Amino acid sequence: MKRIKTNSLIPFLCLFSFIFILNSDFNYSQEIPKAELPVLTTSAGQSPDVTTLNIVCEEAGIMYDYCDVPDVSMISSGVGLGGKESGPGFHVEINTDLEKYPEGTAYKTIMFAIGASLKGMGASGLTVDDEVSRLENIIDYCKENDIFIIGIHVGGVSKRGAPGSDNERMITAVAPHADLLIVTKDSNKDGRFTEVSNNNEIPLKEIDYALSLVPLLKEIFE
Amino acid sequence: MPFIMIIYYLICIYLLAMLIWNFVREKKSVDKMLQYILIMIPLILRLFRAK
Amino acid sequence: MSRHLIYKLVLIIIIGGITLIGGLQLYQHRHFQTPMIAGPGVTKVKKLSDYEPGLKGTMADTNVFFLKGSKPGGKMLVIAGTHSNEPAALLSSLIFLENSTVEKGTLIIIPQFNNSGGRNTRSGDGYPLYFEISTPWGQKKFRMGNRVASPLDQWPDPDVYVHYPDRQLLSYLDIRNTNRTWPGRPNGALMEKVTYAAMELIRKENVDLAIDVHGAETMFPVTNCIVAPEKSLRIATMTSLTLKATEGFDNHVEPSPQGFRGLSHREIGDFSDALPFLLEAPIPFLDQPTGPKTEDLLLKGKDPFLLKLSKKGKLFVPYDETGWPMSKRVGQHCSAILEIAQQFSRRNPKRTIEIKNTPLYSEVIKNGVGFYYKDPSKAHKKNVFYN
Repeated sequence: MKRIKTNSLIPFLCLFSFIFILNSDFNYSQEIPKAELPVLTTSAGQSPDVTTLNIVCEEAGIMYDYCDVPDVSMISSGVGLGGKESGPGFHVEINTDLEKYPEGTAYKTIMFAIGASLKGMGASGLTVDDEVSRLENIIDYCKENDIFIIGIHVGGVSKRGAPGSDNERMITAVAPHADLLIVTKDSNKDGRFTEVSNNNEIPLKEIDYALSLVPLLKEIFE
Repeated sequence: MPFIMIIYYLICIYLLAMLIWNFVREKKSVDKMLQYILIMIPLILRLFRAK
Repeated sequence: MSRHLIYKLVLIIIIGGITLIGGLQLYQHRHFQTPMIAGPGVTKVKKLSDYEPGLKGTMADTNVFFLKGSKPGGKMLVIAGTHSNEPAALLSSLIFLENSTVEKGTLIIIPQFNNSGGRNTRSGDGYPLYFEISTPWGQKKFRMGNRVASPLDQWPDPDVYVHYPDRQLLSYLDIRNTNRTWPGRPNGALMEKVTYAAMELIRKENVDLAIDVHGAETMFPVTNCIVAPEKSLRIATMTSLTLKATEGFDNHVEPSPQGFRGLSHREIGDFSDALPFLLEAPIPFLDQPTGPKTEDLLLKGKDPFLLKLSKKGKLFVPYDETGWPMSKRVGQHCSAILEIAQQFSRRNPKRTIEIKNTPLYSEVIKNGVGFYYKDPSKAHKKNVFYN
């Protein structure tokens, strides 16, 4: 067997280590996975950021269903949300292309706009604990049924808070279980989402402005 | 000018007249003289349409 | 001469003198006229009383400027001076009035919507009577008004204001507040006639967009934002996102509450086909815990007490030693108005509103507000209007 000289291995080992370090630090922030339709948008915390998400989806040409406070039974009904209609403290929009995905087609992706609003939760008759519990149930259902979870935080510093605050509880409920995290730089100023991404091996995409969601979502749902 | 506004201006004139009369009649207390004349200020400003 | 007669004479001289001096200043303020130059884009000037004759001859009547483009398109109404103690609205509307030209569609501007409020004062709260803006040709002087109409024009106030038509009970003061009397009525109180006239203008002229320009305290959550009802929410949100990305300032979106009646951003949408928006820029002058209410505080927005509160996280806007100068507020309004028109035009190409020669946020900050005002002494007489 030919003896491999040790000193010729060293540069190779260095290069390999460098590539490994690079990958282990940045792998989850650079790779953007693809998501499939049909998609449901919803809120984690009832802040108006979900309206921003819906409008961005429209700009990106993504046809979505929306409900602010869906439960597991509604999500399991698939496209059309089982025929539920908007009412006081409860909003539903069905925009999915029903020719492509008829009513009842199972959702392949759920996008959560993360941000807490006591006004929004109050309008829906929810406490913070109710909201967290609702989110946990939905996340469990998504995991059991292979539904791709995208967690989006574009509310910036105003939708963050001290540990244990309402905003942080919403992040804790959704972010560690997401399959993809999209956040603005302002939202991730303290690196919380980077930490969640690295600890849970979740791809993280940091954008400068919420408007950058438009081309990004187009790319994700291509 | 609406009718109710005219009535209120007439009330102002009446109140001002009462205050002037009490100011003139007051002979002992300087405090009361000062009170009467101070209370006249907003009424005068309103009647002369300054404030 | 008896002693009491001497006392009375002294009191009459002192108190009478103070009343005379103060009263004269207030009288002069009420009748002070600010010149406004109709710029190259202005095609027609009307009065609000053209839409509600009950305003004719009253202090509530005010100028309405039309800037009609050579090509047909949509119509946008800019309402400034609803609250005359929020002067950034008036100042930004004057920039449009004196500079803008319209290529497509029509821009309608009411610079002093509550003309009576513009002639009211709040000297009891230490407000200055006037403020001045530096221009390349000298100082331009403006009245500092009040939030509500003057009781000289609308009096008395009821014990409780019962809003028309839904009968919601509002504060007695709000019957003189033209942001609580929408949609108004022709046989109501004077300020109800003002908002009714504006509704008639919106309906008769087929206005597509109605933008009400305001300022709000830094300690109030509904500040630095665009307030929009459901039907305007999409345009408002895209405006907010685009302004953040392209011009670098925050202007978040606040949904218009359905249960709070009388406000422009609710009632205009409910009683016409127009899409209403209400713009709020921060005005530190209005905050309660500030130092003296000086002209300097009004124009520069710098206050040491607000700075301390900002460090404790009590303000709803980012606030530092630079304050929140008038150029920043006016610049925000200019950019927001232009962007709303652009976003609407994108969605409604047949109702495009194309406005040119209007500075954006960064330009107003760089050049200052007064840079854009024309010298009335050099303008043709027929182009000078007074409010």
